[in-house]
Amino acid sequence: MASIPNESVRGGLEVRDKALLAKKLTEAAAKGLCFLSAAFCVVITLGIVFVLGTESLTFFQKVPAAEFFSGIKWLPTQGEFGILPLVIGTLLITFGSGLVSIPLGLLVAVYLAEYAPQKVRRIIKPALELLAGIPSVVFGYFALNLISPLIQTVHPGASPLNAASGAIVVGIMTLPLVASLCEDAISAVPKSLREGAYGIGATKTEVTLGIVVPAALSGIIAAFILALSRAIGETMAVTIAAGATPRLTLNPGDEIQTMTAYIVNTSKGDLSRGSIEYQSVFAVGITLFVLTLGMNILANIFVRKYRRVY
Amino acid sequence: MDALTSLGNHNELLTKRDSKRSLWSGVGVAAIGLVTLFVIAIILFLIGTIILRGAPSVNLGFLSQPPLENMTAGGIWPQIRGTLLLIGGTFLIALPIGILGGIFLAEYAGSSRLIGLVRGLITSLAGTPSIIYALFGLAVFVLILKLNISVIAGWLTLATMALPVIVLSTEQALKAVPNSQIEAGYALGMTRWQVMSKVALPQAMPGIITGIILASGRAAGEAPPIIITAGIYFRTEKEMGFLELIRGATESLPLHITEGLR
Repeated sequence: MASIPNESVRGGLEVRDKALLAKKLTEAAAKGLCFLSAAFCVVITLGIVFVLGTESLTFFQKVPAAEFFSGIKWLPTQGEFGILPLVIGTLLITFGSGLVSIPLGLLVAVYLAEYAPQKVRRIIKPALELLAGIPSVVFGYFALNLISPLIQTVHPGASPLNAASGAIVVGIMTLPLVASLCEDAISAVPKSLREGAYGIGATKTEVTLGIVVPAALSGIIAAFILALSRAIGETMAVTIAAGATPRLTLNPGDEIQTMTAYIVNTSKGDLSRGSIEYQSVFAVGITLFVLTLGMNILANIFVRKYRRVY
Repeated sequence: MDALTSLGNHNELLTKRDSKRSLWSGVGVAAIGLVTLFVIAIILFLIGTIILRGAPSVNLGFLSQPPLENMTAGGIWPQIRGTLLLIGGTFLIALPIGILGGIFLAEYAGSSRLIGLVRGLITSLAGTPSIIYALFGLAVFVLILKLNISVIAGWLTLATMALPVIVLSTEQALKAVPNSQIEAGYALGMTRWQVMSKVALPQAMPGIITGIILASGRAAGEAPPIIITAGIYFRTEKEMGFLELIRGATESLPLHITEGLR
């Protein structure tokens, strides 16, 4: 009679041990799986560096790196691989887009963070998200059909495909990024700073432009760098709008070719592995990768700076 | 007398200066408001153009037929199907890995220097241009693994591209879950994984879903990886089994628009 409760207790203990073991196993399995998934991301990064690196190394065995980085003629079919025309083309687009996205994006951010009533915010934020969600090819369509004709009426010498229309459209594309990152930075400025300024009698504009924007500066700079880095890597809109003629020019009315446009135009279709054109794509690719990676890291440093201050 | 006049003058000066300052303040507000209005006008103009020029051509036939008569008639059904196919497969691959990776960063990783480096790597991966992923996919999936230009190669390439975005948004969403909730879970004797799966994940879901939608918008709209690893502009429609469909290249919307603009 007395043994029955004992047995049932023992049975209960066994069940509990089993449940505990199962718990521990799921625990370990979950942790392991999560770790593997995160490690996978690291492997991909290393994989990208490795693939771009090995393919461009074979390229640099055929074309000296010095010639590649200082050459002013890009004529792959004739064996001339000087990347400067592509780099200048990319920089034209990048700086031009910055002239559009940086001032407009910053002012929209200031308005959103400091002035906009709730109701207006509720309209503007989704509108900006809508803009950010439009695919790059569609921006190419805008550039070709709306912006280029406009540029040609203002400046009749411009060719139908030109750097200016690419730059403007990329500027509009990256505007939401600038606006939302700047707004984050401005909103992170503590209220006490604003109140202190109001307390000594500053007007709204004085507080905003004289106190809040300078206080948020490192975050704002990070936003600018990220927008420029995005513009460097932008592919379809510039390929469609700015053309496919590598040319060493600073005239925004000219047709040019960016690094990204060269890569996408050359690597679609049948490229045989081992041909010099195939390898040149990777050499341009690693240049682009290093450029954007450097800028992204720089932006991260600035972001961390403002996070630490506030 | 003198002192009073000078005080009066001073006051006058002050009000003059103040009215100038308040004028500038007004100008500042107006300028910032006008720029915002200008940006909104641009957005409305662009969206309006797409809708006004595009809407008249969209009907059931356009959405359900293949292109006919050398791309001058018919519709875009194969392109829609291809795009959906690409997004679907991409997420079957990237979603589990991305969410688990995000959980690791948010809950298990801690904050050592190494983890800081890993987080930095993933952040910069998320900002890497899509054309770089396209090159990676071309070299690894299309050529080395000999998948050719195919839906499978496209899935793998787009999944590598979507992964860091999903990881980061999952991590952020999980970190936003209030600590008190997580501690309450532990206090009830739940294990780490139970707290994660029953308490934190459900609460973080809206944030994670936003991240997924952003990533899928990116994957579906990015033409370079699709053009280079998975895309074909046109082929004759024929009956295909699923395996045949994913081993071959596919039509897709971004590629269709690109070629159409040439």
